[in-house]
Amino acid sequence: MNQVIRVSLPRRMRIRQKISSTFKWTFFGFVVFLVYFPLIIITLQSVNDSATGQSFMGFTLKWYVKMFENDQLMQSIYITVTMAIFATLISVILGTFASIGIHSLSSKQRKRAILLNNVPVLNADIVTGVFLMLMMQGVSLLIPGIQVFGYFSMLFAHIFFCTPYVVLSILPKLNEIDSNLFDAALDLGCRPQEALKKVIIPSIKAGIIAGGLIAFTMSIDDFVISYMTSGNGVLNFSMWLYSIKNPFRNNAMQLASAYNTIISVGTLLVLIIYNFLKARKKKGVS
Amino acid sequence: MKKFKKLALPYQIWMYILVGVPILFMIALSFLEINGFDFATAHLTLSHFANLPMGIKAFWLSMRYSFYATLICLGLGYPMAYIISRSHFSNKYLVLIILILPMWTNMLLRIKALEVVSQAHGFFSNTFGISLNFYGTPFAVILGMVIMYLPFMIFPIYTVLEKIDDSLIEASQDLGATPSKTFLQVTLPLSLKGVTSGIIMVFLPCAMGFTISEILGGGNIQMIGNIVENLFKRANNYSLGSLISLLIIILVLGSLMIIGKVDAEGETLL
Repeated sequence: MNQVIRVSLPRRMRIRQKISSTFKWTFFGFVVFLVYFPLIIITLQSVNDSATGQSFMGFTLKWYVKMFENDQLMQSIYITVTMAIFATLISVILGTFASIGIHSLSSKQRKRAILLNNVPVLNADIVTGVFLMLMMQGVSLLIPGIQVFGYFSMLFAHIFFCTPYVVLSILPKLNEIDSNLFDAALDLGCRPQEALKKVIIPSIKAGIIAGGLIAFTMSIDDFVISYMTSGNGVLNFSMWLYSIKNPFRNNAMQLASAYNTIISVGTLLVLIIYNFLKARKKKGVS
Repeated sequence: MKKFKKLALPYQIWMYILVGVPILFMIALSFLEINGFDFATAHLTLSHFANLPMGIKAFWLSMRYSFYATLICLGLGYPMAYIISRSHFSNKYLVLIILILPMWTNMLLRIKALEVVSQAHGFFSNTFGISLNFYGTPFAVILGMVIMYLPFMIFPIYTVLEKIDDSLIEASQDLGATPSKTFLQVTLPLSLKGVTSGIIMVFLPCAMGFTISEILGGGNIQMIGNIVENLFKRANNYSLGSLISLLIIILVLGSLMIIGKVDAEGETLL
């Protein structure tokens, strides 16, 4: 239909359309460039054969090797990655049950629960960090002599701010389920827990995976909340980077760029493989 | 499914405790003369309110910069979301992934990369021969905010634009509306939900963050986040820090109410 109209347009309008289309794609390109601008610099730095990083001196892959020799960086990466895995697993489990619970509430209660759930999503990171830090200070007041701040306080904080994202990504999937499905399972003799496991969980699987992915990226990227809730020299990658004021001292910028490029490419590959498998599975069904 | 109501309870208790108790702590701390978190030697005082004007000044500065950044993001983000939703890409997800990809890069590292660019003499000027030299200016901070948070404006707007029924737009055209009239009277009103979410998702982190203003501002620009961070992490002045944080909390609660009104299910927040 659209095609037919376009062919019959007078010449002047076709030219106008062409101009507006050129303008449109220039704008599109400009926005993509803007968002990618820091990435271009990071990628260039990761292959820059210059110790001072003050100009581009040629291509090298040595930073990708040297990053494994920097103990502080490796330690911080270890903390970042293990924390992201634990925080994702725990917040996905917590978030799944919480969202099933929230979904079963009456409409008014549900609205209130979602509002509460959105507090950490909208709250300033620094204030969420202060919230958690004050709570942990409170705990250390209650139990004297306990060493609160460290890896586990940070993990706790990550679980706290990741779970709401999991809930937000599962709730829409729960809304899509036909509630008769659950009743049917009960009528066919399932116990509620069984019905939950065999009917509900499989139908919200996409939401759970998406929520887990969001939780993982939030956790692996976090700086402010970790900074407020960590202690005793436990640094994640962002905190390690922040602690180096001059980005080129000890080649921090080049090493961090190399690590980051690996992570970005890795996540992209995971996503492509996931989409590929999903597409193939769909084809197999139809 | 009413049987699973119980499952919401532990989560709600956990959220009430971790959100409510700290706010009470903060209100209490605002009225106390206290060294760190040592309640034994604390006593009541109103002296912290004398320092409040400093916080309010930083608060307005943050609001102003964040306002500019949000305005630019809206100006760039709305057309971008519109272009993607109206385009004939066979795979729109691919376009979205292109826009999500930069967000997987550590934000602090991206800000540091902009720092490298903004300096008069350094990597960027030596490599490309262009000296940008805006390090430490408000421009650097606002540009940083726009680059970091632009995708957060595009996604919610795209989500609602994509949901608009095409037949509504066709109907408007069939009834004789010009394209601009169709946009203003049909598309725009239907997308306001996403615009509201986008504005909040950009405005709040821009106004409350401290990393962009600290790294790109070069110590010249004191936003509210910088002051809170400084009071809690360096000066160990929890009382004044709490008092100033309460300003932020009021703003966040206001935004929560708005989101609760326009998007009760939180669909556009992801």
